Parts: sequence; structure tokens; C-alpha cells
Amino acid sequence: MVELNGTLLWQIVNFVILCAILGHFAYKPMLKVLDDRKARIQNDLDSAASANADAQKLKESYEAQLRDAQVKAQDIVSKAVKEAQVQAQAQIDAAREAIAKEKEAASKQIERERTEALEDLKSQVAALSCDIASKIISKNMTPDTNDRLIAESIAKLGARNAGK
Amino acid sequence: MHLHTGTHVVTELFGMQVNLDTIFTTWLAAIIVILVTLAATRGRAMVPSGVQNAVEMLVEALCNQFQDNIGHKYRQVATWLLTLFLFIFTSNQIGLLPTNHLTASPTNDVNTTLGLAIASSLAIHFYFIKNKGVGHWLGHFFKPFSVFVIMNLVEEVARPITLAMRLFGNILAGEILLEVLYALAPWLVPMIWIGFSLFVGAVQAYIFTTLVSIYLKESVE
Repeated sequence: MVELNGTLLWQIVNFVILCAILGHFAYKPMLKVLDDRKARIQNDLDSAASANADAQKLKESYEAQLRDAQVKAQDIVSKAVKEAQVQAQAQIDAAREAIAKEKEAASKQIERERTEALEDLKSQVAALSCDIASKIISKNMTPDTNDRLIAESIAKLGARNAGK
Repeated sequence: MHLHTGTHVVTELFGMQVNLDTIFTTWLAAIIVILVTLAATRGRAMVPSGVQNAVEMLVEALCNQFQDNIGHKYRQVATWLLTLFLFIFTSNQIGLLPTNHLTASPTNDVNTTLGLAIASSLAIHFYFIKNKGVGHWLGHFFKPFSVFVIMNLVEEVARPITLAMRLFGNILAGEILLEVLYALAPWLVPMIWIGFSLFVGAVQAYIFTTLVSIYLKESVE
């Protein structure tokens, strides 16, 4: 059962030959495939990490740009609002000034026309007084005559005003 | 009761007594290993499947184990260690085939296990000399002190003998017990023992290979 003989040498030779065959035809290509796969997976992982880092950078860049754009847009809106406010204020001021000028001109016109009307009234009253006085002096005045003269004078005054 | 297990068909070849049945079952195991590994490497697909997937998974797991034991230079001896595992594993299981004593494990013959152990010991010394030179090789017998040379030489002899006897004893005992169980209780019981023997065969192959890889560490690192 436990007997050493020439089989031992045969087994050593058999095993060395088996090693040589498997080493050359099996393990070499198999380990190459395993190494290639390992390298490829490592490469893919590295690429993925690199792509991830690039994407992160790009994202940060875009976010920074977005923040800048938001700040700029806010500035632009603020400036526009301020300009609009300034313009509106200027227009309001101009309108107020124009209204004030118009008002002043209208006041002056009214004052001038009132003065003219007063002057005109004065001259007419004077003329009418003179007319009435001359007629009173030239005629013996009855109440009827007096009324008629007054009516005529008023009619003349009306005609004069209409002809003006 | 006459036990068939452990007996051999002996013939004379080139002036040597040779156990023919051991040689034939060794070749059978070798052919199975070669066919399976060649089938696994035939496709060389980047995404493996089937036999390629199974064998690559086993080879990768073993290589990781060797790397843990030996270091990153394990590739130098990967062929030896992988062949040891695959051959011993297959050999251990051959004896479990229900062939009515036509096949026995080549590892139930001490010539096989001692042959493998001596070959591994020679490989250990070969790689030591190859990597570190003859001077270092001779020097390592005298470490840590020169008086240790006796212990170191005993260890050099004991290592292959313990490797061989552990494997031989486990497999031979398993097969003898299987034969006895068949004689005593032909139904179910041998099946349970075959299942356990499959596990023992795998474990013994793993132990033999792992121990050799640990012994190789000093030679390769």
C-alpha cells in the first residue's frame, strides 16, 4: 500500500510536462486575457473618473457663468429701473414746469384781457356819459324820453361791441 | 474482506517497477485538466461566459491567494501552483467515479504525492537559486545561526514528506472508507461520503498548493 518505486520519477516527469503544456497553451493566454481585462477595467474606471472630474469642472464653470449672468441681469434691470425712474421724474418735472408756464401765461392773458376790458369799459362809459349829458342838455327831458335815450345808448353800445 | 483500494498493477518499465494504474489515472487527470483549461482559453472573450467564466474565476481566485502569500512576483511560479491545484483537485475526484475499481485517485498512491512534493521542493530551490544566486541559497541553510543548519536540513526533508503524507493519507483513507461503506451499506451512505470526499479533495488540493506557495515566498520575494 505504501511502496515507493519508479512511479515517483514518472509522476515528477508527468507533472513537469503537464506544467509545460498548461503554462504554454492555457495559462499564458488566460492570464493575458485577465490582465487585458483588468487593464481595460482600470482604464475605463480612470476614464470615468476623468470624465466625471471634467463634468464637475464644466458644471462648476456653468454655475459660475450662470451666477455672473444673474448678477449682470440684476444689474441691468436695476440700471434700467433707475434710468426709467430718472426719465419719468424728468418728464414729470418737465410737465409740471410746462403746466406752470401755461398757468402763468394764462394768468397774464386773463390779467391783460381784464385790463383791456376795464379800459374799454371806462372809455365806453365816458362816451356814454358824454352822450347822455349832451342830450340832457339839448332837450327837455321827460321820463319817457329819458328811458328812450338810455335804451338808444345801450343799443349803440351793443352795436359797437358787436362790430368790434 | 479484501480491499481493492491501495493495491496497484505493477509492471517493469525501463528497469523500474511502475504502478500502471496510477500512471493511467494520472494521464486521465492530466487530459481532463488540459481539455478543461484549453476549452476555457479557446474563446478568450473579454466578457467571459460558460467554461471560460468558471475557470477564469477559479484561476483569478487562486492567483489572488498566491499574491497574498508570495507577493507581486507570484507570476513567476503561477504556472506551477495553478497546475498543482488543478491536477491534485482533478486527481482527488477521479477516485470517486463509480467505475467498479477501474479508476482510483492517482493521489492515493504515495509515489504521486511524494513525486509532487519532491518536484515542488526542487522548484522551491530552483527559484531560490534563480532569483538570489547559489551563495544566498547555501547561506539560507545557516540562518539565523550556523547551528540551525541541522534544523533547516531536517525541515527541508520534512516539508515534502509532510506535504505528501497529508494528501496521500486523506485521499487513501477516504477511498478505503468509501469501499468499506459500499460493502456495508450500498445505498445512500456512500453517497453522503462521496459528497464529503468531494469537499475533502478540494480542501486537500487547496492546502497542498497554499503550503507550497508559502514555501515559495522566500524563493521569489
